Amino acid sequence: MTTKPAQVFAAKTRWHEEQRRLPPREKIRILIELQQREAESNGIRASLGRPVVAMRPWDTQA
Amino acid sequence: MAQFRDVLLTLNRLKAEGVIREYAIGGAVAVSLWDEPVATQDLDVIVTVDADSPPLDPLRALFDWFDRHAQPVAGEHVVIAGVPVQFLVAWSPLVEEAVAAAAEAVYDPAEPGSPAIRLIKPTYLVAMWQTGQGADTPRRRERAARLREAGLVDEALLAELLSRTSGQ
Repeated sequence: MTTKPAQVFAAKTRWHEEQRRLPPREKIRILIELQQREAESNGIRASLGRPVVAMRPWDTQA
Repeated sequence: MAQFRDVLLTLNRLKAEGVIREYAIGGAVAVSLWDEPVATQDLDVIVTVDADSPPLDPLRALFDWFDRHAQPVAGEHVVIAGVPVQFLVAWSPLVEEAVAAAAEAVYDPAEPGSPAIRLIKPTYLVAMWQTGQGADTPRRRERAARLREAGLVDEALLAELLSRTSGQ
């Protein structure tokens, strides 16, 4: 594992490029997972007195 | 549990049965599929319909079809396979062109017989956001920036679309 910022940012750029190249089905799977995380985070937001984000995860599989 | 591919099969069936002329996915889901996925609440599907559709109720045939097939409607969404889908009629010649020029991809290349998915192309998405009434919001500007950063926007085509549609 590197701690050099240039290498870290280069690795992040590569990761984002890989994410962009994923097939549609895999991206929809991630999108549904993000919806579920967003909905879970609303509990934390509410407990902190922060506004919640309108988010209801899709009732489907990718 | 329902699968997202069932949404695509339904959209393709609507087209095959002549309920709509064409469709393409827009909004945050289109951005997610061109760039990186983001959490979003609904699926925007932009459709074109026959010219003889009632001008004040252009989605009547579509909603009648869903009614006949006992498809649940929740507010302004039709829930297809667990996904809230918002249908929008192409609201300008630019949007009609965007639907016609949409990219078609195989949803899951690893699955034989996987349905097609039609997506509004990034340059058209940006043009629609810049010209649509009320569409130029901070969130859409951020999405446009992401598409540009990913190198997905053809700036020459965008300039042409914007100049061509300035009078629409």
